[in-house]
Amino acid sequence: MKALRNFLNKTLEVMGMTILSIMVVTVCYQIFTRTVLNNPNTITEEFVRFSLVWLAMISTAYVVGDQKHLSVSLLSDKLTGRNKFILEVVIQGLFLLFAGVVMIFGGIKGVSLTMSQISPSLSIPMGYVYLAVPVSGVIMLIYSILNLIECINNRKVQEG
Amino acid sequence: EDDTTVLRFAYSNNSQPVIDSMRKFGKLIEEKTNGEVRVEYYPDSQLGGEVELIELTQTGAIDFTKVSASALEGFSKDYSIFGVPYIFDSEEHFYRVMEDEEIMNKVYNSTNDLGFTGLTYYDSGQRSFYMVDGPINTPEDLKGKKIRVMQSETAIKMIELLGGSPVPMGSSEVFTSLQSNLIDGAENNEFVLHTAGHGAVTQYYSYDEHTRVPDIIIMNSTLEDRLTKDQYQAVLDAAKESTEFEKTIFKQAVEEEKQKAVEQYQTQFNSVEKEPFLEKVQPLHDKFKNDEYFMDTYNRIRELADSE
Amino acid sequence: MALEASIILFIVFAVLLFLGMPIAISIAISSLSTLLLVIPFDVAIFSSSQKMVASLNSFSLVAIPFFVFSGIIMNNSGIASKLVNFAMLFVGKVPGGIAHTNVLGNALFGSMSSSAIAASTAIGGVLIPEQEKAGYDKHFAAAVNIASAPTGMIIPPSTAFIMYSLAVSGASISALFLGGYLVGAIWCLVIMVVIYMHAKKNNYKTAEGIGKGEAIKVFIDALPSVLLIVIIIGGILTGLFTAIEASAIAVIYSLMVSMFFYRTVKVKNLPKMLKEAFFVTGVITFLLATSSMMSFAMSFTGIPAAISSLILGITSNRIVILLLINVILLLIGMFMDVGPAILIFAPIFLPVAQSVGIDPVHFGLFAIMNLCVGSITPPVGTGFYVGSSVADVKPQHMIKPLVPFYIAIFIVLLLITFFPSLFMWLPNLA
Ligand code: NA
Ligand code: NA
Repeated sequence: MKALRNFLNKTLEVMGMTILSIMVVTVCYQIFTRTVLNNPNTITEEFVRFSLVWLAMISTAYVVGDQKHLSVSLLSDKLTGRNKFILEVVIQGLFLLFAGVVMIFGGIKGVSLTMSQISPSLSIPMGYVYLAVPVSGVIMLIYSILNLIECINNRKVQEG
Repeated sequence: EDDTTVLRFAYSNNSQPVIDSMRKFGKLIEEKTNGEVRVEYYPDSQLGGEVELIELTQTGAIDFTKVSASALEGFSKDYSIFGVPYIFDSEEHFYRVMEDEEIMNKVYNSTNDLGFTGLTYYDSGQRSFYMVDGPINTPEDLKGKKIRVMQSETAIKMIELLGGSPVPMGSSEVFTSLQSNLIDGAENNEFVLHTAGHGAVTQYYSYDEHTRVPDIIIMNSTLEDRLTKDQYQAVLDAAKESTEFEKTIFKQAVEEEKQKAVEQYQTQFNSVEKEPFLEKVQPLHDKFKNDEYFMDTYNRIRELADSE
Repeated sequence: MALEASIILFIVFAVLLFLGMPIAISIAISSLSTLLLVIPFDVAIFSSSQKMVASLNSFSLVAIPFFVFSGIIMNNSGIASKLVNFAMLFVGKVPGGIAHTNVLGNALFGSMSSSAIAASTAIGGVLIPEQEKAGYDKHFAAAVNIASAPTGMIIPPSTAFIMYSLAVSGASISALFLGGYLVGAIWCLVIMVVIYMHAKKNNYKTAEGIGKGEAIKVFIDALPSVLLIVIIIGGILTGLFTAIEASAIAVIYSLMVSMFFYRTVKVKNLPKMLKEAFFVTGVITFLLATSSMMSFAMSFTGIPAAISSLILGITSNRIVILLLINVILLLIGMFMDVGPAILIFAPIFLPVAQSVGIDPVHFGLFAIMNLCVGSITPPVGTGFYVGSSVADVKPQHMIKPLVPFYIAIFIVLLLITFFPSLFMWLPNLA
């Protein structure tokens, strides 16, 4: 289980770092072609936008793995023991629900609807962009299950 | 009261005559069905931009939307022919084509499998160049000039053929980019001057009239099954009537817009000899003329032209 | 419809939030429940995924990961102490000099790191002990740090303005940035006025002077990092690049400065910094993506229209409406962080403000300033709590010393709201 989590973390990190670096270089290239070459590039804008969708979706899933999405922790800070455990289980449960229903089902519906829609500049099916949603959903789902198992194991250790 | 059918119409940001006409469309439906069918509106991009609105119409989340034909290009390539520069000789030619059932029925029905159908068109006027530093009289005036275009293959190609440098850019940064000379000009209809305020940073609007891209009202394809025969007919009739209404008030509004631009920003308008521009963009015409898919439509459009 | 929808939306949202659910998940689940009132399940989940993609598929949004990344690079290059020395050169001799230095340090550092928390920790962490040593009241020093930390969120590059522009679709980021320079500067200025009066009254010492040679060295040492702010505004005004593209320039520039001028960042440090930027991106974009689901659900059920007719039903007086919006935003800011609050509430209140003739850029300036104030007030205010812990003082003891600063900031807030001409001349240049 640890191995699976580490593998996922590493893979997402490498993907994220690569996409982010490529995006920076691409935007600089966009400025360069327009100002220095006086021959503006017309596909970089769309390329960067689509990369951003993928970057954002996989980084969202990555943060789920770390359980670091922002929350207002007025109540949870005060909870201990059994109540805190229940809260954590509910949080992971909601992530499971969200990942399964909105990201995976909703995302797949989005992909199938937009596979025939062609992007104006790169001329690729918009489904490839929408694909980031269900892919992120699957990763989110795996992370939430891992988090849930970990949470239950910790509870057992504490009680045992 | 209880068996009223409520249909949803969402649209993006629009000029006033177009908004009035879309409202007229709903009023006409209500009248024709004696209140059995009512239209509810979601204005000003509340539900999303044009492409999102098309997708929402596909799924049936909304029943109608009105978008530029260029936004429909990604869904059906049939719509891309309207973006070909100088495919229409004049406004009259444009109307003749838009009213021609042989051409338009094929276009409107090209997206039936995707879940939506074209209903009618609205006049969106002509598009011309407007510039910061000087008027455009010949294609040479565009040489080396950075011109903002919408993210569209045909629009980009057109600027390149005319000798300018196309810069695709989102609409929210156009004003600042004109002001700071990041771009030298852009192209749009007259409403960009006073309504969108670009007249404050551009001095010249040159009527080269390169394109006339219509707006299209689309509807969810299941509407025919959800309404009675009479109700559906009422929708179709209301659409056509609202188009006639729109054509009239749009022309008036253009005149008012020009006047406001002159009063507030001293915008200089100039007319342009179109022949040299047409010559430069000929490769785009050849592309559509020789493409098996577009050949028939292209020829039919040209048959209806003034000049031939 | 709007009433039922509002009840479901706000109750589900508030309950989940109170239970400690991540904000983004609370937004998503409450939005989905609201949508199910009006559209079938499969359409609702498609629309939700559509809103996520559409909100992320935006060139303006690119600026957020980039500015975050350049902020992280700057953080790692150890510029905090250089900026402190730099600020000291200018305001060290004024009564209360170290406190003034804290203000300028926060503004400079915060503007580059786009994070009030990072600024108040890095700058306040150094300067609060210095102020104590010089005999300043510790709670006063902590209050200075807390009150000035949010200025960096307003002075560009500013992710708050980018989020606002995305949330209301269309307000020019360049214009917002130019307004941000001015608002941030005036915020700093009024804080410094309060410090000056307090320092005079208590006979606080000025900072120790340094020799001319050393002053030049300090100046040159800090100049390349301060130049980043200049490069961004210069690029926008001269048309070399847009405010959005400036973010990529910021990344490259801060890398160059850190690697070749300060030599504090090496190629082998890059992966760690990229990883951090990747992580922060996920936190922000998840909020952004789910907030767009919420504004969709609200528009679809007519909530913004209902709220705006409710407000306009009470009064049509421009001043009363703007005061009302300010008070509501201030209350929201007390309970919510700036980012999510902008994303959720800007689309609701902007139409109301526009109906009384407020320009979107102008609205953005005072709405964001308002929410930033919320980040330094209890009960929920990361700036307030982090600032207290940096100074090692009890949060409950911080309210009293902060009061004069709150008053000064409110005066600025009212000025921005009601006298736009004082502030809008700069953004109108863009
Ligand atoms: Na900043
Ligand atoms: Na607060």
